Amino acid sequence: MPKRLPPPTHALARWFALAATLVGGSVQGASGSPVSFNFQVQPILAGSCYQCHGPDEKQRKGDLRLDVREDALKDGAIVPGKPEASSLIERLFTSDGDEVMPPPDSHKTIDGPQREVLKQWIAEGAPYERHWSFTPPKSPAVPQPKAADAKIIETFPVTGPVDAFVLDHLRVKGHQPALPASRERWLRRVTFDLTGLPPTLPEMDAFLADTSPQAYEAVVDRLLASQRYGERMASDWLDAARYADSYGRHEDAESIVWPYRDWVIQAFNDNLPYDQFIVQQTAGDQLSARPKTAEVLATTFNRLVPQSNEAGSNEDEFRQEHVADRIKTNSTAILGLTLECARCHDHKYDPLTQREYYQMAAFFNNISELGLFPRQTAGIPAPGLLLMSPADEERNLQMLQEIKQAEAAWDALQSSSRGRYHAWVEDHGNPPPAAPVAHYEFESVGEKKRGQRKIFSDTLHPDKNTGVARQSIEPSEGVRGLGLRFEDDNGARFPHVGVFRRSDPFSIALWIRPEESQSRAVVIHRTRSGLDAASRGYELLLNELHPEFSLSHYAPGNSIRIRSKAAIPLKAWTHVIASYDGSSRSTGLRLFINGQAVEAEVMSDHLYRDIVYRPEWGDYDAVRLQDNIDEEDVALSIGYRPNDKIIKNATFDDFKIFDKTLSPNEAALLALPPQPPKKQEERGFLAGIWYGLTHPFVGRAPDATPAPDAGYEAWLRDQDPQGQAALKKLHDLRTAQDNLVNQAREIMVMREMEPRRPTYVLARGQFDQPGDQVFPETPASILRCPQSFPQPSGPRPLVCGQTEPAHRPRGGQPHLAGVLRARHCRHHGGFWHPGRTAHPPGASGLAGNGFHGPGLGCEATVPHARALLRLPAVFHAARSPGAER
Amino acid sequence: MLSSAYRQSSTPLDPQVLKDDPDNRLLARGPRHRLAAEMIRDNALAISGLLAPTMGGPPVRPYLPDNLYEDSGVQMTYKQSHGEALWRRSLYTFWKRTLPPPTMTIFDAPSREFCLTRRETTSTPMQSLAMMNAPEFVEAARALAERLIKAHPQDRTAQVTEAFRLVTSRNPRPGETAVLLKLLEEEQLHYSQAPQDAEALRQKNGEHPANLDLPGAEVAATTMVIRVLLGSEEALLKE
Amino acid sequence: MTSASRPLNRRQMLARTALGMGGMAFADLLAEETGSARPLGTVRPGISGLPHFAPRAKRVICLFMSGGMTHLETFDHKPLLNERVGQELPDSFKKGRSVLLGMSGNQAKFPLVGSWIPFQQHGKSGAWLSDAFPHLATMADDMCFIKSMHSDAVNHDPAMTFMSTGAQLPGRPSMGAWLSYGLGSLNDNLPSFVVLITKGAVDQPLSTRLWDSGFLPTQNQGVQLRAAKDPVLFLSNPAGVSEANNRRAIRALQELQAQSDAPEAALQARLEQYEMAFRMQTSVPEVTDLTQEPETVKALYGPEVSTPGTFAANCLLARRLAQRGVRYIQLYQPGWDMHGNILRDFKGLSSRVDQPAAGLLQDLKNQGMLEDTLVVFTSEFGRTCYSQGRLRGTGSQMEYGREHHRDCFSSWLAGGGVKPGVSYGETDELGFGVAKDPVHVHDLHATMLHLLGIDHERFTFRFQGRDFRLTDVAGKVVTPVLA
Repeated sequence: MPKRLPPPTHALARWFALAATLVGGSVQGASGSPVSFNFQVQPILAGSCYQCHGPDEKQRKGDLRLDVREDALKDGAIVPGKPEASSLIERLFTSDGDEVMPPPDSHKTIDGPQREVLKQWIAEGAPYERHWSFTPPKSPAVPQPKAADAKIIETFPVTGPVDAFVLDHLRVKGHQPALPASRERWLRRVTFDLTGLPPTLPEMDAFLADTSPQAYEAVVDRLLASQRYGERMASDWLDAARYADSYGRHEDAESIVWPYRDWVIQAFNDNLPYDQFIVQQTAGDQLSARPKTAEVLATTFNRLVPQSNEAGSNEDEFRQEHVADRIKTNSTAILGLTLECARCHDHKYDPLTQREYYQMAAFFNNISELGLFPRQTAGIPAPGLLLMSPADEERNLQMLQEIKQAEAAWDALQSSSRGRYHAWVEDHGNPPPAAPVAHYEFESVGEKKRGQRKIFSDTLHPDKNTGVARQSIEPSEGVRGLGLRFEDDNGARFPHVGVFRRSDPFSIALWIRPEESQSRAVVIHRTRSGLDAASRGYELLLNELHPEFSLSHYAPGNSIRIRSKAAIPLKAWTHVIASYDGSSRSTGLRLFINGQAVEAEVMSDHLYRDIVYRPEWGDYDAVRLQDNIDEEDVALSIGYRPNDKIIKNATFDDFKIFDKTLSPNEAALLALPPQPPKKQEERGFLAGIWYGLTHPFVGRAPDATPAPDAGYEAWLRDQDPQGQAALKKLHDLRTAQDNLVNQAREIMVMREMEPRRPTYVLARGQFDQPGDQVFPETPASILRCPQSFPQPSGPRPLVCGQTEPAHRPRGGQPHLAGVLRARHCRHHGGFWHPGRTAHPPGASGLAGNGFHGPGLGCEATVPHARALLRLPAVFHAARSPGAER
Repeated sequence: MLSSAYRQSSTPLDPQVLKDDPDNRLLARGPRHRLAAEMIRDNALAISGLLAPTMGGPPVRPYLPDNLYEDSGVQMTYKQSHGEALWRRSLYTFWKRTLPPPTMTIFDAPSREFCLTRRETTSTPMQSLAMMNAPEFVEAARALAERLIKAHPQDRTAQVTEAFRLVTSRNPRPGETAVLLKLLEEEQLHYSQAPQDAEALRQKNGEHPANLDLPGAEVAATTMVIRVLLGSEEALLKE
Repeated sequence: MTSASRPLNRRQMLARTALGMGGMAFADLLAEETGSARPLGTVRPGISGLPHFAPRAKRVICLFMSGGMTHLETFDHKPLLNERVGQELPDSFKKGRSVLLGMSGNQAKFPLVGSWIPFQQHGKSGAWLSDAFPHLATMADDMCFIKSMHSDAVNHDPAMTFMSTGAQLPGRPSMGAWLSYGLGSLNDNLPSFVVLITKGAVDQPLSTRLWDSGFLPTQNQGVQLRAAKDPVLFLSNPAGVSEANNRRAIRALQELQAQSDAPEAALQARLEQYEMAFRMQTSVPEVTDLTQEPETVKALYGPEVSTPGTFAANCLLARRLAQRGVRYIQLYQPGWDMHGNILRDFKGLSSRVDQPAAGLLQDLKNQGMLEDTLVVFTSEFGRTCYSQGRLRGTGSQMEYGREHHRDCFSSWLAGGGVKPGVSYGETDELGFGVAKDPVHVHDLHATMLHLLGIDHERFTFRFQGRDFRLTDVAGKVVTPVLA
């Protein structure tokens, strides 16, 4: 089997981990040494110049770009070594109101000291540097304590590099460290930091009594080993993951995602290495051909986007918001950047174009989600993961195996029973074709009383299965006798008919005469509604006259759907059959036009849950669903469906429902122009008579010679004991497997679509204004995806630190770990804490200006203790994962 | 955690540091934080003995002001949990985005409608109202009061000392013990003259069953002392 | 270390709660670094530099009709629609104009239908109002109608979020929060941003995001006053606890504080929050006790004024809050999402809104407060000029619904420096789109800020490296409506 290219999302997660080779730049000494571009010049330019002279072409004025050295030098804005000759300096210092930069109406200012910095910088040759958070870190030299520190070291022993750096930094700033806190204060601080709970009295007493040198270490070990540690650390990550137990918009119904919260707690308690923590949440569903349940569950991280369920919403618009939210969350929580700014235009100060934003979006735009959560079922927005007990999971795999064997047995039987068939025909003659379970000829539309015209009886069971129309009906001509004609929003319901589950074979057949071509018009359906119930059930649509047949638990992610390549003609009678074999596979769906099987395009091929409404799923739960419904609301219908596009001005006739899969020959027979009702029964294989009548409506003659063994499939299905036994076994196994799966809990996860959904650059971020198509790629400014990684042609390339040491330079993951350290330090009062290697990542705003998130782009206030920040990153990365103290 | 930098006291050697480096970016002193929203409630549950250690599982629905959902225009009914589910850790609380749990948001927890990597910390009177009047905190105070009275019958000094230690993780100074004993005495007098208030306090605040074998006035009085301690500045800090 | 650890060199304000307290001011507890707390009672200032110029209004009362109130049965008189009732919406209107959105997009037919409620002109200004608002009609000369409003969103959730925060997605501060942050508070006993929701009128769902502080400091968030035992969360004492207990509690805290080694300022701040909390236990019930108002005043607001939680009671409460210095008062009256049957639903709702709104204007005038109180009456979008679903019945018994419509709707403003007796902007002959002087939601926000003395382009907050504005990158002041 050719090695399947790992999907792009696999490459993205690995890229996230490798994107870490970024934090670096030389350590800046105290003032007096050369001006640092990264830490002194860039903040000034980004804050006051890039608005009009930065990366964003559309906004650029005076054709001057200051964020790239070549451009800044091109027209003499900056003349290295000669500030007086540089127009930038001249425009800074001029008193001429029209010339001065930044211009008054920009509300930006560059003060005296900042101008001096720029002047000195140009004088020193105007060196540019890549932004400090985008350059790989180099391991900083650990300063040694000076003699003068001797006294301080008595109360502030240098236990490691952190103390050494702090001591050195304080000395430079002319301060001294504080005296040690009391033991009680330390115990309270560390217990809350690592478990989120206070120390108990016994724990206090034990620690105060423990005079051994390892007393402190013993406490930290105890706390790190406690299950409380996972709960404490998970809380921070749940903020970054925007975890909530409700969907978030409009009716904000409950959303069952708590298994993901438990995964996060478990990940911390299991000491999951940080890169795995990111890789699994990004692409846990693609780590291997058969990913572990826990790995797929991790991808719920990317499905926690706020969702709406307002009727009348455009599902594609809301689905685009989901993609945008994934980029914002991943860029804020993992990369410490504000990629989302480039949704509508090139980023104003970080080197990221709008095109690169949508290349990044392509990783997250390839799951078959609807874009809305349901109003009229309690279904989980697909794609989903079934969560079962290990025993059930085992049982499920076994059942699927048994079904495969039963399918093979049925196939074998089909190809080996011709002999027995011929013997049977000798004794009994041709077998009868499949008989429908309900059949409507709509002759009642001709009744005199208007009320009677709306009632349609089933010719096979006149007393039950009656259908009723929504609005008044006018008599109109059918294929034979009268037919049912709908205008505008009319429809007919046939309660208690066609109640099929996904393990039941069934077929629906009818003559149809459409007068208009519509996009996605509902013809026949047994669903509560389209968008509002994610088409739970089955439906036959006409899409620009192309028949489309589907079964859904939650369209499109949990459904099978095919669309006929051939269209049916306008203003002509056509016989359409939709047939299904109970296999939950798109290969089990077949469409026939005028008795001929048609080639169809597979739109969706992933049905893993039942297509009917179930109380145990909460489908009738009044508390959960504002528009709660009851059984009668779901009925086989022609035409009308609430809030949906319905077939307009069309006529129907000879509507038949079968609880069997129809064979091609039976389809051909059904499609023969119907004879006057009385004679119909004499037709069929028994009579073996074929007639060559050219029917005025159909306009074509059936094949002159009958197909050989025309009734073979019908016989094997309905007459032959072995065939019936094989089909029954298959049906029972499939039903049992469906019942097992229906008890499972389901949770939203990521699962890639095949074929991929194309991604386009969207003008001003508008969902309905697609521009050029783009393909998954990571931003160049951060890190192009190295060739050695799986080509990101597939979905979400991953960057795997752990599993691909060769691809992970020893420098490890400074940027990623840098982001993690910065955020983590803040939560523990600016102190690096080794804890377990899986820590809450995320971006810090190191300065206190109300920063709410990422702080490592150009606009980030420059981290003060940057050497300290990078140290742990390098230090951590070089060591193998596992608990450190 | 083991570095000397982390072990520093939160009071700097030279007060000038507080001015030069308000955000403690030089790490010239130990960290001094208000507890996160979840920690404040978990702390009260833990020291009162009510905390249920169960981990994971579906979200739980602890106390909420009556028909808060209906009055806020959200379309959902809130069915409060009972039993152990009332005293689970706060990260298991049902988190509705359009109406997050009030005792969490009062202490700056986010609505979780978008990715947030840094919580603000504010300090306001609403927090005082919650600490003093919200059912989970009053219930925790009276549960701890019962435990202390049972553990140290008739020994008020031991009771207030243990209460102080549980809330602040340190022993009280004599002056502090004296303040608590004086308050305990005054409240004891108050409730001995208003037994119906004592019963209302211990039986109408939270579903934790009151231990009626213990004297009502004493439990009510001790509850008032713990209520003060729980709401003090030191109780809300890790420093 | 985060800001809380700083010994209070920042102003202490009310924190965010689900029903949090907006910027309730109380003493600027600690001047910069001097450690001495300012005396209680001085007011919390906003940020420096605001207002940019002399404000015309000191406070805002916004009457928000959530659910998308029809403009065709209220303020936008379209007699042509009555003449063409039942006719199909002309194709010229279908193309080019915003695509037929929402649920009706799938309709086979789009039959036009006019307002079965007659319109008349009122006041010297001759403003057209439907007979659904007889009381408001008497105040026509004090009102400034904007008939050419338009929005970007057509679904309730994003449209309401857009109307209150200037963006469709969660995360941005609402206008009340911006004003509390920018202009500070005028009263230290009450929040500076209060939200009142008509009790029991759940229609299209609301969310706390509509009065959230977004990335602004959370103490600027709106506070909902509920018509319940605790108008503000956890206000009243627990069972068995009295005023006396609370007094002793504060005293004990003071005594403990004297012994503590923590920075004096931190303890002082915590103590004062308790004092503030207990003061609220009297100030909030006082303001919400409408029985204090004389009968003549209550009569202005109509019969429902004495039923707590009704729109009438909330309007009177709004005036009382405004009197006590609350900066921004946001009322929500849900129920206008009439997709199905305007004939049946409209009159019931408009009658409960008409007199109270008119009473509020009259009361403010009587108290001499209207000139510096800006009253805004609006919805998140309008409704279509064609019926949603089939037309049923005829004449005044015509049963029809209208779909959401973002291309045009009506609002009115009054007081606070707005030119009275004016009608600004027009829609086309069918009331389908704006024909003249369009006013976008951002323009309305810019105008409101202008009336409060704020230049909407200079009032920014830096977050994640960007200078955010309420009007984002758009908005221009509608000068013709300024007095």
